Amino acid sequence: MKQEFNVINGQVNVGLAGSLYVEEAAILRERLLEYIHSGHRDFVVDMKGVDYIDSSGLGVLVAIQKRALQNGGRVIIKGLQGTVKELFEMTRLTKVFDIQA
Amino acid sequence: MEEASIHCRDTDIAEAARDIILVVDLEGKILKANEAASLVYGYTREELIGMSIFNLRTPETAQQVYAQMQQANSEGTTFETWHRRKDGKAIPVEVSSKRALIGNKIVLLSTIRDISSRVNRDAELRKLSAAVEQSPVSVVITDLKGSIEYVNPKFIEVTGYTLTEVIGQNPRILKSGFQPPEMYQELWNTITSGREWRGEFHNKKKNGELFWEMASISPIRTATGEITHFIAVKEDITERKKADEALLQAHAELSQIIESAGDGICVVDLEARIIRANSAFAAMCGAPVEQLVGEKTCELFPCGFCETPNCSFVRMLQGESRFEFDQEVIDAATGKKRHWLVSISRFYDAAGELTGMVKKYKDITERIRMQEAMQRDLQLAGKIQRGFLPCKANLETVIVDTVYEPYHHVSGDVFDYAWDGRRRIFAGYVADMMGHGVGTALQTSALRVLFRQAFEKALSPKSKLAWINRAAMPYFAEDTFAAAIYFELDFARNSLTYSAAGINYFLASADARHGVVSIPGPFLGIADQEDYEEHWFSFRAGDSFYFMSDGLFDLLRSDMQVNSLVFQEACGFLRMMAKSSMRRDDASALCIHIK
Repeated sequence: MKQEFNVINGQVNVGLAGSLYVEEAAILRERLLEYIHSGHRDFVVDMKGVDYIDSSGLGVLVAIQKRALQNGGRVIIKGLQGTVKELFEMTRLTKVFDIQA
Repeated sequence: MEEASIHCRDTDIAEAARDIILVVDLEGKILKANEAASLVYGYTREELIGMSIFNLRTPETAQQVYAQMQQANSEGTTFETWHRRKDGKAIPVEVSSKRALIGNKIVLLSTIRDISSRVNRDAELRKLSAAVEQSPVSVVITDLKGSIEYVNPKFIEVTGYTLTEVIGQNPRILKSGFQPPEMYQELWNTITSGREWRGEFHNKKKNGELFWEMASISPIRTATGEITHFIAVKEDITERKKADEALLQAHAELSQIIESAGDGICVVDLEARIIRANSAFAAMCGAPVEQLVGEKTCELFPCGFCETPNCSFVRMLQGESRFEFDQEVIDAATGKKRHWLVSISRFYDAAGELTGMVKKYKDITERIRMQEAMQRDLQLAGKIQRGFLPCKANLETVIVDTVYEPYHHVSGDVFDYAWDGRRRIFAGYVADMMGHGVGTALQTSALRVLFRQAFEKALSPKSKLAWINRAAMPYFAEDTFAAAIYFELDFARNSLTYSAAGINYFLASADARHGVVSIPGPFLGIADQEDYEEHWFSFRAGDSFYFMSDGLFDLLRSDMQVNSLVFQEACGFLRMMAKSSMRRDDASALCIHIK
């Protein structure tokens, strides 16, 4: 999976493409935690290239969301489509994250 | 007595002379010249007579003529100068000239000798002399007894002694005292017997400073072979000696470091023959290092990769510069099996050529034992966890079958069911703890307890889930959450009611519903206050329902044929899918068949 990171005006823009299984989730978690530790608290995660995500992937997003909120920031998820969008809707994660188109 | 005399004209003598004889007037005009003059200068007699001696001089020396002629005219003079032949070539000459009264005229009578060979010899000698004087090495010349007759400027520069301080002394004044007297004795014996001696001196300068010299001492002989002097040529090698010592030091340090390594280290050439090894390696082999040099490691410790692409040499020659692998060996001392982690790196010689490998052997037997123990522990934990879960059952109202395949011994999945005989409700759930490993498996216990407690409560399915969610929050570690699906089969009303918390799908093989049934619902453990939904539909005898974790559901996505199978076959199919090599997660299922 491809994971791209871009910091613009203190906001971390994350671009994901491919399938997010356990291994990729672990890598993503490490990278995002680094940004949290260096003081970043606003994230925008573009999921339009993601075709599959399992509980580990969701776990990473939930974990980062929790910390971002603790630091007064937030996580915006955008580009949800297909089965991934369905997953977010069924598990009501649309209420946990700030979902944008 | 006979008179010792010969009869000749006086001019015969001059004519026969080897040297040039010229009679010159006071203005320098040549009046007479002998045969030798013609031969040497290349002019004919006729050409010489009347020529000025200036013309016989090279341009540089011509200006001295008058002064020299005046000298000759007064006391007589002998001097060296350069004359010029007819062909222009300059020759060095010695001129001996005096005033004479010849034929009633005051003239200058000069005897001139070609001193070319003497001049050449002198030049040669000067050249050799300069070579010794200016030599970058020290030169010392002693007489037969060893007393110094000559030292060159380099000697003076190196030792600090002046010429006068050393002339007449023996070279032993340079002795530092650190070398054995036998050396000096052997030196003396060698050179006095006519042979050359070479060696190194640890000498002392005038100021006490020590230095090293590499010396070559030989006898000097006369033309007849008799030894008259000894000559020593010495080169200062102090710097080189320092470098050598530094190298030895570094070498010793390196050897110490290699020796102190706990791991066995050896260097082998390209044919696996041991070039060097440390004592840890020797201990591994049960033989001293000296015995091991030359042995092949392939024979001492066969790694089993010979003749295969995994052979270390093959891998190295193909470009891998550093790699590791595991090897089992029998310990020489105890006869027991031990595990080694073998690390191979390339070994180059000073010129940068690949000449062998460095092999490092690390004993990881303990580590392996611990890993194996942990593995057994894990397997035991897995067995225990399985013990907590219910097995299949054949009850009055339903047949229950289960599928349980942890991804790696222990599982994050848990399921359970219970039959409430009084209210005639068969309830159950499947839950999936996020994560892997022992920590996650332990947390399933918390879920199990909470669901059991929820079973007892008089709450609707969705309220039960809401209760469990709130109760579970303190038990969940940071960032952890769980997915679950809960159902109740009410045999009084023949209705199936279900509520979802992250496991949002199940399979139904029933009249009322056939295929995937979906219901939204948030995960357990994310937010304190969650609202859950519940739906219901009727069931009949013969219906089957399959509740599973996403690890198993994902594998079925494209293959819903389970629906068309009879209950027993369907369960068998799910069990088979759960063991599939495609899976990446724990796979579990709770299968219910209405009797």
